[in-house]
Amino acid sequence: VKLTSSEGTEFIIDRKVAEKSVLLKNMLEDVGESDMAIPLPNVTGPILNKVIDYCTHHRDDPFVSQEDDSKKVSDDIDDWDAEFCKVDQGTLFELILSANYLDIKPLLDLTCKTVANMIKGKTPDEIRKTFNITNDFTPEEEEHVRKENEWCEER
Amino acid sequence: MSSKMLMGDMPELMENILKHLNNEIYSLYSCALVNRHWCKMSIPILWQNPFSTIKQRRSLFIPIYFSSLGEDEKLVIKECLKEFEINIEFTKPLFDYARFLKVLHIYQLANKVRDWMCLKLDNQDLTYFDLRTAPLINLLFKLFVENDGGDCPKDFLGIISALESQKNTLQEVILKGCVFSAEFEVLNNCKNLETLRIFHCDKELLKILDYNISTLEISYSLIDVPIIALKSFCPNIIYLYITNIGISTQLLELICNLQKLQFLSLSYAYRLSKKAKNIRVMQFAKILPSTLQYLDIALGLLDTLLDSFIDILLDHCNAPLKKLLITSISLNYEKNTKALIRYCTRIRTLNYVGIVKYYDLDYDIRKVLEKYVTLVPYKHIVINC
Repeated sequence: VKLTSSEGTEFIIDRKVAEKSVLLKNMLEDVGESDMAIPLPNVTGPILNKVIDYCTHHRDDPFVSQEDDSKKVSDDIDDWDAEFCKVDQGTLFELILSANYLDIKPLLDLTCKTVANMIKGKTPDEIRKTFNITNDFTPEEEEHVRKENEWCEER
Repeated sequence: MSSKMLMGDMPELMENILKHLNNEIYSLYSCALVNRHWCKMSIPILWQNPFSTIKQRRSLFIPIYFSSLGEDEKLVIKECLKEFEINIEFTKPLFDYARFLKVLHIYQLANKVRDWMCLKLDNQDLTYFDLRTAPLINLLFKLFVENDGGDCPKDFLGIISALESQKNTLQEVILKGCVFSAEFEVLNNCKNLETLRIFHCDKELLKILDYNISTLEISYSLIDVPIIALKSFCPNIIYLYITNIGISTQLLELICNLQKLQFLSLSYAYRLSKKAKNIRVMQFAKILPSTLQYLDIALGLLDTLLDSFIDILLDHCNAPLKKLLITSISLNYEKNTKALIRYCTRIRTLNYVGIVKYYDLDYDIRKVLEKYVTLVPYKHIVINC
């Protein structure tokens, strides 16, 4: 299967690897056998390369159907996946967008879980610093949110 | 520059991130205080299941729900609390928090109201269920089930019928110590009901099971779980937990039908002859579906444990397990240790073995096994189903 990234770089991969993406799987089923490259205008070359790495490593994993909610997975990430996610923040968010666009649920869950782990245990200020987010609460609003959720304060 | 995803673009992706924190109350609380957008995204998740929290201080959400009631109802609450010398002032809440509730813990509701009152009174001596608190509990019920017309239910059974109004949103029901009543059949109309946990209940309650359920726990019910009743709705189950069950041919047939099963916990209670057990365990291992990634066979009585046949189980199992939960007793036998190593090298998916009485595992055996798989105490492996 041929894929073209947003800059026009061509990638050739096994059909089995491509079919980890529900988007590509459906396209391939609709089109049938063809030498035409599938354009992926929303995915850059370096990100597509990472996505292919992921799909190749997980090519033999059983298919997880859509209704299997992410909450059903247990609380750990295996070593290869953890290593895979050791990338800068920009790449991580690009991977989330690509996994969503290409409809690769396990990759979407993995990358979202990695961001969730970056949030875990942090104070609001630490979260703002980690993701460079501006606090737009007025002091009164912030106090109101704090008051209504004070039941969560004990760690 | 921060990702636009965290600033309001594609909120469904941010929601997906935050859903992974659904058990992390403190982290979600931090998220709610980051900024307005993060607050709007995290509050609905934070308030999905506040009744599941244990610490007493975590009952402080109760008065926030009171604030969402109508003016007349707030007066009833005030009057009721005055009897206990508790004064309360209501402010308009920022969100309609009751709307976010996904898990209605009927049993915990009364407990949490009592916890909150004890906290306000700095007193642990309130009786377990003081009749004077009934209006508080009933009005909260009314708030959750949006029972706008008619009288508020006066007992728990009335509540089950009232759930009719939640039939499009109710996702999880926990039943403890209930006898069967036709009233429970209302749950058959709850088309989004995914999770059912039945503890210490009449087995007749299995009649309410529906085709769509993905998580089923049956615990401490009568020993004879009617497997036939389970078969009719089983295809969508992802997580199955049953205590006190034998490896009967019916159970094997049931598991064979669960083609989406990912998590299986069995506590085994029947005694069979050793030869019969060997055959059943072998059959059990062979029919485990290829979707299964978690198998817990460490529960149950010592002399009836399935995992004393771990070598037969593992040698005949082709399911790509990622997590296996067993006891240290069985692993201390060389035949079982070797079988585990054979399984690890043959299937190559197993990454964790959770062990009951982890510290009783022989040091040398642990060292050998750790070359193939990560060993952790049983409680370290948690399924969030």
